Amino acid sequence: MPAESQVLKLEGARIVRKRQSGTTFELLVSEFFVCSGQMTCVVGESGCGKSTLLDFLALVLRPKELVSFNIKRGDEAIDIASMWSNGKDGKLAWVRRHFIGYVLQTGGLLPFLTVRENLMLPARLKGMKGQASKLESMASKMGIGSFLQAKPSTLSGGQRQRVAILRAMMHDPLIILADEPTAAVDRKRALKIIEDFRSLAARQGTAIVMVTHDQELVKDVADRWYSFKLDYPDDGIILSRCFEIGVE
Amino acid sequence: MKRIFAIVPGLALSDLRHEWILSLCLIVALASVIAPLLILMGLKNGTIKTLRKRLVEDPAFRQIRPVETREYPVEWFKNLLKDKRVGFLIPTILPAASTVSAIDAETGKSVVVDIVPTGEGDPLLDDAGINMPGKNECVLSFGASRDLHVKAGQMLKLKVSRYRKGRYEYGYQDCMVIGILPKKAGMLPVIYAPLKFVLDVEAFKEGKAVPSRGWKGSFSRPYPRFDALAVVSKIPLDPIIQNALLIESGLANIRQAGPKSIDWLPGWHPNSHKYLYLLSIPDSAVGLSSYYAVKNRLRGSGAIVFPVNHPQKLEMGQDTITAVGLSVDKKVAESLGLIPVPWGGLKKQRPAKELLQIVLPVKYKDRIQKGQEIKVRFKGQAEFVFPLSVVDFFQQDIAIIPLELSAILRTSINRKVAFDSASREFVLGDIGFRGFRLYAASIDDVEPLYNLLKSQGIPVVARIEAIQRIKALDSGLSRLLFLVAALGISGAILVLVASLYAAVERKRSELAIMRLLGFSRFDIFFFPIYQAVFLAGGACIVALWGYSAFSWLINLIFRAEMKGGEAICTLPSQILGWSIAITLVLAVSSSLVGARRTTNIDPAEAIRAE
Repeated sequence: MPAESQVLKLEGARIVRKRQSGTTFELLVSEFFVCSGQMTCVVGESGCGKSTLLDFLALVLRPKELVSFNIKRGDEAIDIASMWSNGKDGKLAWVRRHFIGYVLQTGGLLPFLTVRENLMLPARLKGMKGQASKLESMASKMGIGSFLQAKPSTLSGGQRQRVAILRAMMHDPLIILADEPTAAVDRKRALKIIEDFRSLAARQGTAIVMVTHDQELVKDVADRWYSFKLDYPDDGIILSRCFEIGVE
Repeated sequence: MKRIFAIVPGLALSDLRHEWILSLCLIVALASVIAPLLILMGLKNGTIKTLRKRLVEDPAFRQIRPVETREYPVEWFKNLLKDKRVGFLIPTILPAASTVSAIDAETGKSVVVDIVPTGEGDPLLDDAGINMPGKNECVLSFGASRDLHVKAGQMLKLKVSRYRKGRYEYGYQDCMVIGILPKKAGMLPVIYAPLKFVLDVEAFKEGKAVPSRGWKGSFSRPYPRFDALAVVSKIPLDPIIQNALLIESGLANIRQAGPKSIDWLPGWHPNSHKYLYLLSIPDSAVGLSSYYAVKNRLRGSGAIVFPVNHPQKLEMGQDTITAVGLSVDKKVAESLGLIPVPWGGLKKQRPAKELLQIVLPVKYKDRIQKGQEIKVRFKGQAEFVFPLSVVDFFQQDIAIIPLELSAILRTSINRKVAFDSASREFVLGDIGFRGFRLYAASIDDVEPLYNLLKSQGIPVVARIEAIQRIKALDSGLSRLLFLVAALGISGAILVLVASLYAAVERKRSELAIMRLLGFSRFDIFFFPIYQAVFLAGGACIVALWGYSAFSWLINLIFRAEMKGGEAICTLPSQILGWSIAITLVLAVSSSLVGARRTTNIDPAEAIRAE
């Protein structure tokens, strides 16, 4: 993969998290990168560190150690590692709203806004204008065009997920992070959602990082795979190493 | 950043709209605290305002009246008028000089009325909506209008009278009645006229001419005044006659006295006239008219009537001479054992030449010769110097002067008197102002002005207690309202704090999603604050509506007790504005607890919540 297509690259990350059970969970990521227009899937069993990795990638979990973490916009590299070390919460929020889209398990839509308002919110946050026509056409393509005035609570699980996917793309982010986006829908719908997601991302050149426990679902669409290897070096400590499948 | 900051209020409002039932409940809860407080404030404000308005509307509550008659220099008026607390101030003259007769329009009968000066801004006239009377115009009190059967628009004839040179003289003035004051302005028969007219009346009464009104006059020699009238009789006076003497003379007191009561009179030895009565007016002096009235009444009774003055002190160089006024003819002098005096008995109008005489104590015989003119000083209202011709010497250490001169000196105690050396006449100085009509600008100014005048040594009376009662009620109600408000507002704050805190807890996942989407901690911090502002704003609207409805109802119920323009429950827009502002500030303060809580919300909670 040529280096210039990489939109996210991190090296030497050590993330430590105290779990409610009292155990310390430590995730080591020696190298992780995603490329534009590609779908990178993070798979693994429950508790292996998928969500920890996703939190870290979403810039909401501070790493204990970090060698480098860059998001590339064209030739410009945004140094996330220095933002963490300088404790610039506002700057991290700025990166989130400009370059990252997020799809949660059950949508993560704001219940007090209509579908249209939910979809437009990231674009408004980014200060983008003229997104209304794009919204109409993309919503039609994803089959949610007739629900734009509805509140999320009136939608089915599948409809909500499609709205969430569309919302994640509305502000043309460089990366979309998706956390089990099809967990709440049946298989048939899940396949359709993944397919839509993949094709939209490819068309816009957006990099997708999808966390899922269902490898079967994404085996035909994933461009790159990451998984975790667990180790228990001591009582109360779980050590997880993230690696790229096929490279290790 | 500004763009995102502007998005937050819209989201906060959308959330409130989404949970509109909860929002409405909270708005109603807050409004149910604010509205009763507004009503309470309205009742307090309306009640106090009405009471104050009634006090303010009635000028009597703003009036500060002098207790005693004294001279007030023009400068004093000028200085006091500079005080912003003074609403209206005009000088007044001696009460005795301000009575005129007004002619009854129906019967033609004369009614004695007091003439009081008025001027621009007179609260009595303003309150009644009557213009300031111009030249030859006047305003009547209700009592005067009733007694005179005169209405506004009618002409009134005023008669000013004086007693001069042994006879009564009159000045007439027609004036147009331009208004009648209401009963509350006073029931006494009073005519309000421009100060100029009042001063003209006074001048005429003094004997001066007022050419502008066609009132004739001449010099204004001081009128004679005496301490008392003495009546000596061989037989006791019948009590009925004693009373008659008072009624017919304008005197107020008659008492039988021992001969020693007037033993300062040189040679005083009443012999067979062993019954002595003294007639007087408390705190005042006796005039010639009283003397003649008593003398006429006792004509043929064998009683002798003569005015008396206490001995007076005359300064001659370094010496002080005690002088007694005595004018008796030989016959009376013999009857009463008095020293006969060269100038004879009492005269109504003794020429100046005869007036300026003195019989000196014999001790001065070495220094002063008979026929010599000496200069003496007398200190009355003002000090004045005049010459006296020495006509004789007296064996005792007492000087004797004509009683008419003594009477002028007695007058100078209360009135400014001067000696005009050119005409060799005593003249009345400018009478000056002897009182004032003072109204404070507001009822709050009454007490400070009252204290100011007291500090100047001017005894005054004012309705301070009534004003203080209102102020005490105002202050008491304010404290009570403060306590009720503090209790209500504390409750409202707790409701808001709890509700907004609970809202933040309920919406953690939504707020976490917002954080994940790119809102900073700072942006999210304002989410509950905006919600508090919207809720409080909504509560204010509902409360204002409730207040308007209830205040209207309360005012309707108490309409019968209220006068035009009065309301028992009312709030000025300024207070309403402040109430809204305070509510919003309290709401924002209350929301800070919830706002602080939002800063703990981690965007990762959105992911975990899923």
